[in-house]
Amino acid sequence: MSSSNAPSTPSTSPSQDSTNAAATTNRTPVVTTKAVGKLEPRTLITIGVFAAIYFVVAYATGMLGLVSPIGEVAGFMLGTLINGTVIMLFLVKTRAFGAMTILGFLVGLVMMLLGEYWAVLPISIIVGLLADLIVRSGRYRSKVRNILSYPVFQLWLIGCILPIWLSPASYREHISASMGKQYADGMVSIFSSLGIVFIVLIILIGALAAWIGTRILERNLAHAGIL
Amino acid sequence: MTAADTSASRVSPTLPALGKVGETPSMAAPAANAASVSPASCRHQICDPRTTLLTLIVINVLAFGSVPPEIVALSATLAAVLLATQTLGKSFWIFLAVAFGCIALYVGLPLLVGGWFAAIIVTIAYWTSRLAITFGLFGFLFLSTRVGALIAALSALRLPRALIVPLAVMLRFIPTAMDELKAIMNAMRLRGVVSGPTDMLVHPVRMAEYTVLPLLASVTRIADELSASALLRGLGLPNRPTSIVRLRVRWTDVVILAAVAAIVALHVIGWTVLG
Repeated sequence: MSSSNAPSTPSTSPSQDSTNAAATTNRTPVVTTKAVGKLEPRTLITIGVFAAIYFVVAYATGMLGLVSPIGEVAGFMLGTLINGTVIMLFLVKTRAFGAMTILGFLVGLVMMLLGEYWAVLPISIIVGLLADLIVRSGRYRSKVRNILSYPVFQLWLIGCILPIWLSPASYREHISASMGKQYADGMVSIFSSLGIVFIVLIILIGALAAWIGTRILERNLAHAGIL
Repeated sequence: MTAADTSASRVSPTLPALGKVGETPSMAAPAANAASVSPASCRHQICDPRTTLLTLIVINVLAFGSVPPEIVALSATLAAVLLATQTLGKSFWIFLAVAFGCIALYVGLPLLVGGWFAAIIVTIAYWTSRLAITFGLFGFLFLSTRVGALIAALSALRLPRALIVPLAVMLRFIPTAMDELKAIMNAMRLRGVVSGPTDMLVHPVRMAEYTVLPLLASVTRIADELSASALLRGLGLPNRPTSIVRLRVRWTDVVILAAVAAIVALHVIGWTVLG
């Protein structure tokens, strides 16, 4: 740096001071990126990239089952398990209020375009906001709060089963008109109890997946310098 | 295309080879090309993306709501016509068979047999017919609309930039992420870590670790490269970027919207054929 100023005296104190100063100014940006950030362009791009990974994992696991409601539900569970790690790293990388809400918007929008029930979009925005509030309450660094936010966020999956769970009047009418009231009531009670089992499973698997995720990240990525 | 869009598409992320065996050069090149050239050249857009989005949402609300089979059949017909403008290949015929087959099944089966088994079949057919229609409309959106046009349409709808930028990045990045995932799976199979998809179900946690870690490691680096490149291209500027995609309403938009309005009107007045 200062070699042009003092070429003859490389070992004097002024030149050493200036190299130290250069070294510290180089290091400062690395420190500031770790602070709690706002939604700057860099954060927005990170959200987009992680949303793509999240979506690909959810979609690939959804394809494991056939295109039937039962296979879809099994795929949701496996996707929830794998994406726990993705979201835990996402929370570390973004650390800004709104990140989970935007992720919810993206996932909900693509899922709605893919043909899921339209309510999946508003539901995923709401659970994203709730997850954001939980993460913020831990100032983006609390491990427990981060883990807790994930099962809440995964509740957007309710949007996909909501029409079957609620069984609209037309479905009940159709079954009871054509097959008898007994069958209609039976089917509706089966689906409403399955819906509750589904929600409980999401919350349990989500919490487990997030906890496993933090373990995996700490064990592997922390000393690779990525975390 | 918006500024975010162009920047995301032009960047060819040099994908770090983590957990892959000798596939790096072939992986990076097609992903970069696919985003900018190949899907765009084979798509013919017959209407404004905003028309497609509105159709998709209205039919979704209608199909999953309380509607008689006649309205479902009309929605399926609309989806079939729209899909036919894009492709008459195998996927079109599969759509036709599944959608109308399920409608026929859930209307017709109760007339023939009764019992619990029939009730379950009718229920599955009832919901599959709905999913087939909305998925068919997604097929139309996917085949007819480029990512750039979709982003331009959402910008025109005044969606905030904090949502548009991540969406553009996400849609551009999904093919790359798919390729990465496939490459990691292939590498695991080649090294004998996984024998097949059944391992996924037997050791889900271990599989999650093996799959997701290389993916995350490469993704964090790609995100850094992308943001550095996008910032250079003016992504951080406060102004709203202009788009080179021209959105305009044509006669096809009027026809499609009229068809959607007609279906809604028929539903409102309670039109039925079967009584």
